[in-house]
Amino acid sequence: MNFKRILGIFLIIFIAIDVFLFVVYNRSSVTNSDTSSSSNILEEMRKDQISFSKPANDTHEGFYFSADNSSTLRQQATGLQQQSYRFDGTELVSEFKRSITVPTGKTKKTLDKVVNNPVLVAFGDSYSYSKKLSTKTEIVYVQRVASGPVYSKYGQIRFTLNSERRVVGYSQNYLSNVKLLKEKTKTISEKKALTWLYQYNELSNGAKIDWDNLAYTRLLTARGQYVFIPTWVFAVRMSGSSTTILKRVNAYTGEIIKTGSSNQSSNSNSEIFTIN
Amino acid sequence: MKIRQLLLPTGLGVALVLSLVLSGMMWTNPAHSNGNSGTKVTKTSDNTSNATFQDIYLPSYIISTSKTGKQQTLTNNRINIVSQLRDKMSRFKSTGTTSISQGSSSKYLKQLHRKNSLLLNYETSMTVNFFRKVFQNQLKIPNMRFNRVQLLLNDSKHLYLLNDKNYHIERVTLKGNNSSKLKKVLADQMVKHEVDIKLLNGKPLVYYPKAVKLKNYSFQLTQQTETYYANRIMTSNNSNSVQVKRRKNKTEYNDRGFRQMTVDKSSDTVTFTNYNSKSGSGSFLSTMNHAYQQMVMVGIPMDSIRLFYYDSGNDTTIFRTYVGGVPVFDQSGFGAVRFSTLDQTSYRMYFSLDSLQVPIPPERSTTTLISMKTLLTELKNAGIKQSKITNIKLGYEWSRATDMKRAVNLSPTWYVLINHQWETYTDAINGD
Repeated sequence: MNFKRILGIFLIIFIAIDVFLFVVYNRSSVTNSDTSSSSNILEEMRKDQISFSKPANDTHEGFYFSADNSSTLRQQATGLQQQSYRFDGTELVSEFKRSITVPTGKTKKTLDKVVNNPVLVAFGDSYSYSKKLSTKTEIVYVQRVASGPVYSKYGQIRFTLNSERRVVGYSQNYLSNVKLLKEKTKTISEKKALTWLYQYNELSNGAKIDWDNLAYTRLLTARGQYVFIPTWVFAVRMSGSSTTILKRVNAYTGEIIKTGSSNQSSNSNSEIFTIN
Repeated sequence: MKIRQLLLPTGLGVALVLSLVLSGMMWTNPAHSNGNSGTKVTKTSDNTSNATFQDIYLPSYIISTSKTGKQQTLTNNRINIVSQLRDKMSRFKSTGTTSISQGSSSKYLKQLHRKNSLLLNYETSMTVNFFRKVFQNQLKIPNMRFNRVQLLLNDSKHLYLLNDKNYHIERVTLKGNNSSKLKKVLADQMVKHEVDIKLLNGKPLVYYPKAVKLKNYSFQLTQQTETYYANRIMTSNNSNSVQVKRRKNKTEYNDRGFRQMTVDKSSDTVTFTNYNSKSGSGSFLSTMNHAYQQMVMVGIPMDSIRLFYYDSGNDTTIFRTYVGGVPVFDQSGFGAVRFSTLDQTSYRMYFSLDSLQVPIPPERSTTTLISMKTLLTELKNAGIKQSKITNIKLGYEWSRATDMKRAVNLSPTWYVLINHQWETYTDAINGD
């Protein structure tokens, strides 16, 4: 074998190596470029004309807890005055003997006095006013459990406001028997939750996010107890629609909490509610 | 003619330089350094699990020794104390170390009982470099091995690193420690169990002199689908040629290159082998880092898993699910995840499709276990020689709930390590 032939063989080998290296290099750059980060997704969302305010990137903390609507409220209600009440299942439905006028702009101030008065509302001190969930005709107070608000009908007081801005009565559900099921755990950030909502196709083009909040949502019922988890709740208004839908993202896993019939079995979640 | 003669060597030279340049580019660009797996990690960092490297490698339990010498294990139902302590310990800086003693079991036991101190314990021995990364502190001292860290509540200038294997005690001189901040963490309401560290066959054992009352837990069983993992780990770049073989209870995936995955339906476990993943320098820190990154890449839920065991002999790491500071046994034959490095570029990982993510109300709130004194007597009466017992631990036994579907009950019991095998004390006594 002469020297030329050896050179020839080497040349072929090296060209083959070059081609191989080039292909490998190119392939990894391609996959790298489609690696999408949260901020790229936010840009994409802007392009889809979804409007939202800049989400925060901080993580928060929350608990898993269990609770029920047991007879505690029923027992406490015996001390109520200046109203007539009845129970619809576990829900207390009450009518004031004298209706309360709620002046515009003084909703919180007026009703805080009512809620914090133990003879008017049972366990009122565990609820706080929620401007976000309240509407023109209904004022919502949410129960605070494990240092967070509960966005669920199982822990709320709803005052109905008539056209003369007078409150005639209210309905109340109270979560008792609260037990923390696991130690405090970090949640995902608002930004991450928002990108998940988009990636799961929950936001159509032109949708508007009015507000969002970290709040507890009932995930399931087990052994007669409701199990709550922290969720990122987004108030979404679809384009051309005046109704706001609350979309919930599991603040631990980023999964979308499906509501209504799309969820199977007894654990279906009827927590969806709209604000007009 | 002369030009023709030059053509061959010049061409060879150009090809050679080009190959050098190309491989140089691949090495220097960090995005390509890990080949396929590197790009995958960045993709999934945006995914479901919030658990960080620092979380899964936290010490597994804490023992406090009071001013009077009384020892207690500490847990908290509301917060994770270890991660709280870690935050306070991240400011630590070292100025020097002194070896206090080595090889003396009596001195070592005395040190473990040091009054007014706090022990952070690992199940397996680790290194200073690993500790520095987990606690994000500034301890710049020789990379020795140890499995316990002892903080002194009345002396913020020192801490001790303790190694059960050779009874080594190393004193580290500290800066940046504020013991009042440590005390503040401990002032929170704790669940305490009286203990006493004793030597069992020459190895420190956390001895519970009294009956122990522990919480029961129940979880909804979260089962990940086979397709989830198949999509994540078997459809790597450009290889649409994944071979799938279905057998009776098993499905085998093979990308005809570097990756192989077997799903066993009868036990709901997955075996994944990756022949194209650099494991790093082989140090303890790089091994743990590699295991963590590969678990992220695969997409294993890591919210409550912790390091349980590491064997340098066969390079195997075992992670277990921890609930309330106590490990869960019987989830599968191997814990939550078992990670074995095969050689410098390949590893095999065993994990379960089942995980515990959503806690639900338990059937009974607590269970009371017999004291360790009673336990040792019962084991002795059953004919088990004390010299055969390597370790005894509190653990949660995993069993499927009977009153509801897809739920798991975790009930506390004693686990005994005999012949490298963990079993419940009742199984050990009945000779199963």
